Amino acid sequence: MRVFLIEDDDEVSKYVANGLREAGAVVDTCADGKDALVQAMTEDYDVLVVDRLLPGLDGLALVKALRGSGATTPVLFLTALGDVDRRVEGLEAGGDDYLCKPFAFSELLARVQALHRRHRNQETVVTELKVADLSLDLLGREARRADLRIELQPREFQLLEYLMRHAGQVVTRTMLLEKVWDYHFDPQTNVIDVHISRLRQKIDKGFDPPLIHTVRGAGYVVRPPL
Amino acid sequence: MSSGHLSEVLRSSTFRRALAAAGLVWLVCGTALVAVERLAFRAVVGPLVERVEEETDETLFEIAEELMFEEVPEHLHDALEEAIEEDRWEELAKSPDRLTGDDVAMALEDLEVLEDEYVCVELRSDAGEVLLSNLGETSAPIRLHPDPVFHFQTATPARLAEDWDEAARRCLVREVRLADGTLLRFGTVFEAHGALLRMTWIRNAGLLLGLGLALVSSYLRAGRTVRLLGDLARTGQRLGEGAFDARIRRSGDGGDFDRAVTAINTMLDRVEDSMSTVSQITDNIAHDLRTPLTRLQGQLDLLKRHSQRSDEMIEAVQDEANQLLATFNALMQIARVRSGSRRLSFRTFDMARVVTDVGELYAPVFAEAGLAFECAVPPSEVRVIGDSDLWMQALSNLLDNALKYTVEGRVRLDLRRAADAFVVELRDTGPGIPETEAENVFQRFYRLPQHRRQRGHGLGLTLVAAICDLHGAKIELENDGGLVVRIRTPSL
Repeated sequence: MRVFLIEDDDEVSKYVANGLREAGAVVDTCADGKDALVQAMTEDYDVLVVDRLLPGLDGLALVKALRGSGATTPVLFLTALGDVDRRVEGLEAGGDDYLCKPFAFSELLARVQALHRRHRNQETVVTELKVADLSLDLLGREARRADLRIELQPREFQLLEYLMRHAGQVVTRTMLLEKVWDYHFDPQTNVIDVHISRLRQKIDKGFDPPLIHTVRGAGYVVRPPL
Repeated sequence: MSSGHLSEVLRSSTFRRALAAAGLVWLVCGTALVAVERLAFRAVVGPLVERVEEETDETLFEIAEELMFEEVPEHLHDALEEAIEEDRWEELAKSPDRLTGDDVAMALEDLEVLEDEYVCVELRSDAGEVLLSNLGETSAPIRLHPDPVFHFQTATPARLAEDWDEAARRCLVREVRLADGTLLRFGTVFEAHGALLRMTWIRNAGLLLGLGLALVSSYLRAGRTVRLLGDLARTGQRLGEGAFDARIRRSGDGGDFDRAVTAINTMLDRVEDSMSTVSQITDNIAHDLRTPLTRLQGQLDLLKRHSQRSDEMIEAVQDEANQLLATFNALMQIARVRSGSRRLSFRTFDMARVVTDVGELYAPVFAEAGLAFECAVPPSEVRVIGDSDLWMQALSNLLDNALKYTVEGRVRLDLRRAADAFVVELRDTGPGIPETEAENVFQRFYRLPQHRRQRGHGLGLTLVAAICDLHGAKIELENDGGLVVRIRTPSL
């Protein structure tokens, strides 16, 4: 995965670039908006990670210009401005996701990977998701494991669907709250954990091998055990 | 009043404007005064002038007749006759074949005009020498009428008459200049002269007085305004420098300026209050954040000193940092909601959906905790204008609390309609909140004494209150087998 990190804070840039490289990505960095725009348009990247406040050309304008030129590369905005209105602004300018500083690196990694996956798969229309012997029929809204039908509540289905669409990738609690419940804040209680636990009861209990795994300090992932 | 103040006032626009206004009034009144005086003058003088004109014409005629009986030079004889016939005495007097001063003097003596008490006569040579006069000492003539030329003069009579109360005679005299340059003045005694002159004097005095008053009143008025504006400017400057106790001096007279100053001072009282409240809040916040920060320091210190660093220790530090972050975010959120800027993104949404969603999110959590959870909404849409995200967060905070403090029993979340409002009610079977604490729990960082050791930052209810405020909703707390939180808000 080729990532272009456009960030003017040295510390953050180093920290994120290293983390991404450790996760196997090839990372280019740039600290100036104008230079970054040129580089983004001439080079080929899978995901752009853009800070909103940049010298030279601010992140929003950069992405607008990029989209204007026809580039469809997914963009993740980073910013200290955490307001809802800013988030909407960012998405309207052509961004695909929005992460507030300070953030846990695992959160950033999960989102970058999700963006990459989504972008790669956007051509194909998927009607069925499959991981090991677990299958999800997206048209019939049905879950089956080892050929046994599993009763799921609509929300549980949505939760499983999201996990399976990102099979093999870590999905954070925040991502789940945002995408499945449209909830944009941090609840004090571990609501997601409880929902996952319930889902496990239905999907993993009594079956082998367990498919829903907890990744400490990050989130959850659906995959066959390694 | 220092000279500095004097020049400041004179230069001020208030003074100029006040003077212009006063000046306009003065101008209008002055014009009226002058007009009245002039009209009265003419009304009195006019008929008098006519009368004198008649009388003097008669006298002139007599003079001419008299001359007819004397040895008049040949060249004048025909001219005189003509003049008498045609009543053109004055013209004759100015004509080339003319009368001299001597001629007239002679005629006047014969007519015994000088002895007449009511007639004023004076004959002066071209050089100014008095040839004949029954006026005695005279004052400078004041011209009254341009054509024919009439004057006022005050004169001390050559002979005092017994009837005269005053030593001075006031004469309305007509002037005729003879061909040889001799000036003939004759006329009659004018009694109302004094009154007329007084009228003129009053007019002049009135005009001057008016002007003076205009200047002085403008100055005084401007002086007051300049002083007040100076006070305002000085107070403003002091406030700008941070002295929030600065106030404007009051005159205490209850007038408009005084009322305005009182209103401004009251406003400044509130500003001072706010500033001290803000600094209080900042102090509170700083105080309440020091504890977790200190803990963080302690943990990092431990980490440094420990030779074996375990993941657990590092995670403990991360947890603390995350907690701190959560607190900051909550504070930011409260500030944002309080600022009112979220109103701009208000939209119409279905409250029933929001309540259902939040209920669904929390249902399993309550189940896990062994609490019965119910959530009820009306079957149809409950349309509301507001921010659905904020309402989700508010309800989430309330449910978090219910979860935290209810050990056993049930929690019930209700949405129902009531007249033109909707009501969200959350009931639990927890310990409730004592009435005495009802106000306090909405304060930032406030925890009930018995719950101080519980996890959390004490900002949950503060945010709920802020969100309610923003939407114009009312929140009530009640104790009824547990805590009842009731939010009432207008619907569409």
